[in-house]
Amino acid sequence: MLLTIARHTIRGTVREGRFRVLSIALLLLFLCALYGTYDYYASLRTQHAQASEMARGQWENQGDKNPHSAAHYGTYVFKPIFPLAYFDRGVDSYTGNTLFLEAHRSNQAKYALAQDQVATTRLGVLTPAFVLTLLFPLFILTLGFGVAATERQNGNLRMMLAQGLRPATLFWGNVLGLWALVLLLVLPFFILGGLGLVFAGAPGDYWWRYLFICLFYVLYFGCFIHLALLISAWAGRVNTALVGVLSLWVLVCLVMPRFTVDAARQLAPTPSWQQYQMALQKDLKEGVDGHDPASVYTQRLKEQTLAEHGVDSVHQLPFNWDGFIMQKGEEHETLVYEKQRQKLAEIYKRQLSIHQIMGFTSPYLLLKGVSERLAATDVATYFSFLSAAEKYRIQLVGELNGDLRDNFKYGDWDGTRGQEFYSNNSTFSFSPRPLTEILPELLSPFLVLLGWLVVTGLGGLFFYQRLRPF
Amino acid sequence: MILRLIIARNLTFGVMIEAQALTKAYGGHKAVDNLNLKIAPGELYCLLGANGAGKTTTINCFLGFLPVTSGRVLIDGLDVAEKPLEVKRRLAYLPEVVMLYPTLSGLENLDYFSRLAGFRHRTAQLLEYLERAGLPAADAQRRLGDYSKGMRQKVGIAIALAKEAKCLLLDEPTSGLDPGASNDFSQLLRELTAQGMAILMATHDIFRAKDVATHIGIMRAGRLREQLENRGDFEAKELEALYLQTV
Amino acid sequence: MYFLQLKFELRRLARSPLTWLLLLCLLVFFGFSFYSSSQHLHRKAESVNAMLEAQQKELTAQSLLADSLRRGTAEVAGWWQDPTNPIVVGGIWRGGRVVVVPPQPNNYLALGMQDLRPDAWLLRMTGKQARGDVEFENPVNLSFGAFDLAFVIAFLLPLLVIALSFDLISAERELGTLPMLRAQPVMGRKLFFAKALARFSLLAAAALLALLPFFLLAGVSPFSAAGLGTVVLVLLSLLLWFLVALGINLLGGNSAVNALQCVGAWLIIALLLPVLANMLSEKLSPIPSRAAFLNSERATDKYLEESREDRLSAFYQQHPNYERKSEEEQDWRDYYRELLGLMPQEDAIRDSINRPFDEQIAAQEALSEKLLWLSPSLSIYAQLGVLAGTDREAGQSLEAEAEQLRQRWSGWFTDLFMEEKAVDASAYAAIAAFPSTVETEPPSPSYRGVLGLLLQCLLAGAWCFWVAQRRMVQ
Repeated sequence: MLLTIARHTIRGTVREGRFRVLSIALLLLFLCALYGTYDYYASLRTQHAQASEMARGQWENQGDKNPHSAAHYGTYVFKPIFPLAYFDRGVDSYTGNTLFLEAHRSNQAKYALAQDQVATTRLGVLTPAFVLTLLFPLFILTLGFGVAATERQNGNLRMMLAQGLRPATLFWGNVLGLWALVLLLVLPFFILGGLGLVFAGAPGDYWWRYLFICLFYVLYFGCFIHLALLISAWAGRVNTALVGVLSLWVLVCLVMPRFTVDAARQLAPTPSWQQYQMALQKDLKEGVDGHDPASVYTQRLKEQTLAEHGVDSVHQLPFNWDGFIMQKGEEHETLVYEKQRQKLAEIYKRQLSIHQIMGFTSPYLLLKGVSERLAATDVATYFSFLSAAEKYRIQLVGELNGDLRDNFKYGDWDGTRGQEFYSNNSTFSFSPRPLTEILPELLSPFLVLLGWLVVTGLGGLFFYQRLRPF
Repeated sequence: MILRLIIARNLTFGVMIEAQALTKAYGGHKAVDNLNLKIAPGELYCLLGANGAGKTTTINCFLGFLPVTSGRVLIDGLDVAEKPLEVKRRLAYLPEVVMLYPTLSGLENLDYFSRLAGFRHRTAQLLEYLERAGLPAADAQRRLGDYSKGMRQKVGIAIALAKEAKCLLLDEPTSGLDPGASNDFSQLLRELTAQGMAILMATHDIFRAKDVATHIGIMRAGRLREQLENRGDFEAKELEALYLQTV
Repeated sequence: MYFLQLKFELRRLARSPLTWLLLLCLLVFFGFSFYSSSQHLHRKAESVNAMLEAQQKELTAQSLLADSLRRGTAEVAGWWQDPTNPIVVGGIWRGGRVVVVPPQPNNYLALGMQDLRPDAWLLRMTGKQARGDVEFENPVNLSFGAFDLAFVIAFLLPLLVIALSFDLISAERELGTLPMLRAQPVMGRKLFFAKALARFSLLAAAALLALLPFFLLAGVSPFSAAGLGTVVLVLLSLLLWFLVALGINLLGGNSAVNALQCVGAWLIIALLLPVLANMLSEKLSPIPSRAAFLNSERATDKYLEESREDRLSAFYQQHPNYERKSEEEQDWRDYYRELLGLMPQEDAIRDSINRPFDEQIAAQEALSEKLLWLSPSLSIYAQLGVLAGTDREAGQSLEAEAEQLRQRWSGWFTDLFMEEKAVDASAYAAIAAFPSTVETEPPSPSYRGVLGLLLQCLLAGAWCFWVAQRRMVQ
């Protein structure tokens, strides 16, 4: 019986005029998105590789310099772009892609792509994720809104119930039919979407990520299948059901996301530039400053160090005092910057948890977060890039200060190092957080999404049972 | 007596509703085939016929809803295809199920439609039209959503009265009415005819036709097979026999 | 006919709960966009005020210290802390002048690029640094976009129009009133245009009412180009979508089909065309690589360093009054004299590497402007950005203005330094009077968006009329 109804549902849906038009249009759009973003991704990857190579070349060939001058000269690192970025660009356009590393300061990443674009770009970019998160649910809703309502309105429901069919059986049959149809439809999308990974020559890790993305999408689509049936049965009339599903889509996919941003900003405000800088400067002053011999903290450290070595002048120390004090200052500054960065990360985390809570009202928000996270185009990846860059900065400046401390005489600011030395400095590399670290974070969105699936399913069943045949 | 008078009028005032060799074809299929029809003021012409005989198509041609394939349809001597608006000023139409705006009252519906027709009646006048159509003033103020089919039909008649239509086209007006309402409706039709209105009514209902019509035509497959004048000199049974024989 | 329809349509609509729900939605959308923008702009105002306050405090402290120094009642550790030294006050590695971009009432109309551009610049003798909350903004928040008036007008308003009119004719057909209407001596075309117009009037009135907070509370002048432009955009946008809905209704489908077609039209016009236009402009005129730009900047730095000797000798030839000393003999004055003396030429060289980058961006902008014709939503969005002064161009003219201020500031202190003058009390008074905000007159705003929308309306109207001619048999 279940199978009969499922087959009936599929047949009825497929024979609707809109089915073929919409599915083909959607597939074409998806292909368009895939081509566009993959091309874009490839060009960005080339740009990134070239820029990194050039920056390193400039570092190595900066000429003969004192190591500390080299530390001030600094170098650029660029945020790498990872294979799945073609699938979901996430927040990539809104994060700074370049970071200037220099002594004493932890800079902010600069040059977000969006800043160079015109305002209308913010209306969205066609990516495979855009098609799947925004348009595919609408497609499902338009397929499913009439299922129960049409049967009721044209009197078939009466006939079916007279045949001894139970409403629950009808519901599960409809669910089964739509699920089968949607899974069948989405399969080519998933396969085509995976092609990008083949072209990018991505390692196996990314295939797993992609697999998880697909799994989440299936759950997500399931919610919309159930919602379509629920609304169809609740409304009981085709027109009402249609207006219902469309309003739902607008609310869930268009209004809620922007509303959530406001809620998050309101509940967990991001610090202003001035607040951030004041907090930073306050902390910076409470420690060693490598360039200010008069600072209390520097004096205190000097007395301590002299006492430890049992000497009474920095000239008598077994190492170059300048290199030592520079490194001490650097360590203090690093701590301060790290503390502020952590504070900011905490605020972002709170904002994101508000997004997650709003996920109870909009699965779109949940899915967007998950898809970005798995594609390594999310804020967490950005932050781990910043941390990696900061770690590299500390390491690089540490190498330079260490050299100054151990291999230069005190007061020797004219001694220099050349290409041979700078070529041996460590290089920057960054890979996204491993999947094993991400998966536990996905548990709560998974559970919420599952909750959505179950609640909408039960809701659908409830309204099917209340469905009056006339 | 009345009938004689009408015949006399017919001669005097000419023809109000006229079809000249009206043919309406859908592809190769002729829904109405070479139909000739004349209805004078004060006449009520009943078109009888089975489903698909072409009755509704004929009425739709008179309304200009359907373009004719060949032949002409005239209202008050005006060609429907040439002067659609002039024609509509002269005629009123009641579909099988009169549907008006359910959120407006009967009075408001009447007000709206008569304004559309270019009349600005005062409320008292509108109420009078409704009264004449058989709808008491108390009901006129209620929302139309609560009306029965018969009450809606009365509002439809009032609309026809309020626009001072010279002819009335009715499509299955009595189907779905209970016998009482149906009887009231017949009475009303007789009054309208007596006042000189030309009425064309498509119906299945032989007995009703016998009751109210001055002329009766029987259609089959788009053609008018039989026409007879109702002088009250035949029984309904005879008409039924004729109908069954024709159809 | 119009007034007749207005009277009866309004009466019917007023008795339908759906209408009230839609009007409520409209008020809520407009209201929330106002609230959201006002929150954003208040934060912005607070932020720039804090910057100015901090600067004011520091300036007061500095001028007091300068005063004490002159009177010999205070001492500083060295020249680098001396508040009468032009280098310290004018700023090379500290000091300088912060100029902020205060939020404007018109910004309420569209947030546009405002959340992505700097809120202030620190002007120094050697250059300017951008400062802004965007450095600390959560990119997730940025990526979702703002719930601003532009979003409401370009995206949500059309949906409300559709909800109100997707069944303009089909509902009459399904209700059964269509035959009764068509039997009346009225042209069907005229009747339904009038009905659409009546509903348009209702939504237009409601939308204009909902715009009131922007005029009354935000302070957008209703008679300025921005105020009038917004009203015109709202009206044209409503008109356009009523025409689309009417045209689709005239095609003769049932209500469900009409609703799907209307939403399909919305999806294509409001959502897909902008997205496709973005993709097209990205493809045809890609944004140049910032990474490559930075590298060429570095390469220029290197070139400047290598060619320094030549330029330095040229400098001393041109200024025989300065004596060239060896590096060991140089004091800070000699060092900064060389730095500032060489700067104008170096700036010119640096500018030349910016140029191709700017040109490429300008090319992309020009292309995007052409693509505006594709979709009314693009027209509305872009035009509101222009009216609000939050588009890219406005950002660029603010930056240009800031650059002019920077040159004034820098020139002033460079002169003081070169003439070996101190920053005295009168100079401090002049600093206090130096502009602390960057404000530009809108550079004769372009009305391309309004024009585009007008054209799109005409197109929709023509289509609608064509359909009416073909489909409505009177």
